[in-house]
Amino acid sequence: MSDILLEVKDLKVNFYTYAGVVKAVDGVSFSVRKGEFFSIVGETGCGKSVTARAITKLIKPPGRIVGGKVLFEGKNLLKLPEKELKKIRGKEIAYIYQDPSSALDPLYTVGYQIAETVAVHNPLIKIKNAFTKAVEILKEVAIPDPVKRSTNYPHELSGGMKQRVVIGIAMVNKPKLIIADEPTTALDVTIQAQILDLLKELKEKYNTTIMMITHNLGVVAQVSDRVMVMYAGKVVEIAPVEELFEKPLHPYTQGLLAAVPNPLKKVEEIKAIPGFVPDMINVPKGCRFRPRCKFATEKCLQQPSLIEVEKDHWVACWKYWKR
Amino acid sequence: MAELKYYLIRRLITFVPTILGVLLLVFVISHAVPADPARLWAGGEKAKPEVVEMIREKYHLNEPMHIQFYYYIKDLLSGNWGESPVTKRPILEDLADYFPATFELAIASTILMVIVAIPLGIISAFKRDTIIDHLVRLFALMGISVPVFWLAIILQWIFYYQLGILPATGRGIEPSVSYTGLYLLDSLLAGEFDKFVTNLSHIILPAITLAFPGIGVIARITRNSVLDAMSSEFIDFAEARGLHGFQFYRHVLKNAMIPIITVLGLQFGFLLSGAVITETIFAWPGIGNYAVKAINALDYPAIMGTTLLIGLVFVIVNLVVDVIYALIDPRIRF
Ligand SMILES: Nc1ncnc2c1ncn2[C@@H]1O[C@H](COP(=O)(O)OP(=O)(O)O)[C@@H](O)[C@H]1O
Ligand SMILES: [Mg+2]
Repeated sequence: MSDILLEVKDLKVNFYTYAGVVKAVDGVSFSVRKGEFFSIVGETGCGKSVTARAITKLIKPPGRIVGGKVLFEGKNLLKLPEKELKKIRGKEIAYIYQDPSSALDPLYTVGYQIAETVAVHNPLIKIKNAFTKAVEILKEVAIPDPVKRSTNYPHELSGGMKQRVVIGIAMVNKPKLIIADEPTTALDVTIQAQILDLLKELKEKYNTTIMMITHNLGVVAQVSDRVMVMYAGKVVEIAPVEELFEKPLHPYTQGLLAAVPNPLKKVEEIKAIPGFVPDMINVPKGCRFRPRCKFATEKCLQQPSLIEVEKDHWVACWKYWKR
Repeated sequence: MAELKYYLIRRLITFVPTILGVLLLVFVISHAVPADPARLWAGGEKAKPEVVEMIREKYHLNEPMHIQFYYYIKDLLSGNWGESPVTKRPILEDLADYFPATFELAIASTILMVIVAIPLGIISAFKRDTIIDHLVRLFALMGISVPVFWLAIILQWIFYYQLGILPATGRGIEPSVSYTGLYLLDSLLAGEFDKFVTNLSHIILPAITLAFPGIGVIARITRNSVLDAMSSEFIDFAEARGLHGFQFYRHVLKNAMIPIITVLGLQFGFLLSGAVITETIFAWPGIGNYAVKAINALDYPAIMGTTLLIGLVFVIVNLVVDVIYALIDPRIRF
């Protein structure tokens, strides 16, 4: 299919810790279509960030990508040499990180940090000459007085402003895919909405694709086209956003939605579902949600794979298997 | 940049009370603490009464304390730091003779520390937990633990006694001009290259001896602060932006710099206050050597002059370190 921009197949990432092997991402598969707003939801610690970083091989020891493929425009990124990956990061695939206060280097002006991101991907442009570009992009992300702001250091800007700068850095090279890892989590509620609007607006304007990670269902409802739900390193459900909110299939997704009568509320932990997210070293056998699931049967001791129950609506649960 | 200017001005303003504090401290030690400063300055028990009386007059020691302090400051500012009863010369002249030797040695060993320890620390951090890292850390530990006098003697034994390629003592040959008092610089300025080579060969062993413990400390600090910087989120993000090579590492290194500068500044301050053991073993005519001689001869004015100089040197080095901080880190400029 040519409308697919990114295809992740059976991705596996382990962390080798003193306590044991953490299978943080264990056989995750999904694809992101050109021009869509794809969201990944799940509780803290379920492997969303690791998935996002593994896409351009940004996993550092003790973590290691132990299996799978990441096809970006048909190329397997996991097979590319580091040198090629460096050309893709920040240029074809750009990231937005969660906490803008720690994503920017405190010792360089924001203008410089935008400019160097331009220059590093364009050998013909010197950092000095990329400052006009930096000012342009600051204007684009609606920062007032961009000329002056470009000479500011990160600590001189508010959290929302800093996140605008980070978004500017992500947009400046007109990437094909933006991976936004909880772009609003660290911000005030009032600022969150502005940042989401900005992301949506820029996405339309430049016709980019966004893959956004969040644990906030309100955010998901507001911007996404399709949603993927993760649980303990596995994909449990993938569906178009309306479908997921109206007709959640996986018991975990159902619990997740039931827990949030007001989807604009922030969820840190799903209280309505009894039990805890499993310890990632000793994961339950079979379906990882089994110990907390009221529908669990013998069958659930085996891992169910994702099946397409309705058009575009995928779920990994034995309940929906017809033999 | 305007902030930087204001920061510098503010920092210079706080510099004045610090200096006054140093002066006051030295004043108290020299004027108020001894029972009879005049006798002490004149050389102690064996001083002649008329000399003691003359000193009492000369330094206004019969006046009340605050008047004495006024004269003390006035004398210091006008370049009158007292006179040594031993060398019969003004203290300031003595210090001007001895201090450049210490300064030169301090610079040489600091350069050594920087060019050896910082690269070692960086390599160690980038090759974390490999055999290279372990070797560097072992070397650093050695640097910190080896006693200076032992190292000095071993170096002399190897390079002078056994190999005969480097001199064991002294500073070399004085250049025919003295612009700075630094032999190496002066001999270059005078175009006397043969003297430059001789003087260089003299400074090598004491510089290594002095640098060795510092190399250990700085290699460790460098390793740790580079690792610290590497583990920060903005370095992750820098990688995610596709930065690489110099553009990537400048973020790591600049952020790792602050702790390194702190320790380097401290080390430099200590070196400037004269390394007594090293200067003695290598017969290096520096301030440490001078201080030891002064103490042995109970040359009180010389001791106080040296103390004051060392205090001032520390305050100035601190100021310079703070200014470097502010240049590196914009968050400090407030
Ligand atoms: N550096 C690390 N060392 C050990 N384990 C890690 C590390 N980073 C992530 N993990 C593991 O991977 C799991 C998923 O982490 P992450 O993807 O950051 O979760 P989230 O969904 O909140 O973004 C965590 O539960 C944690 O156990
Ligand atoms: Mg995360």
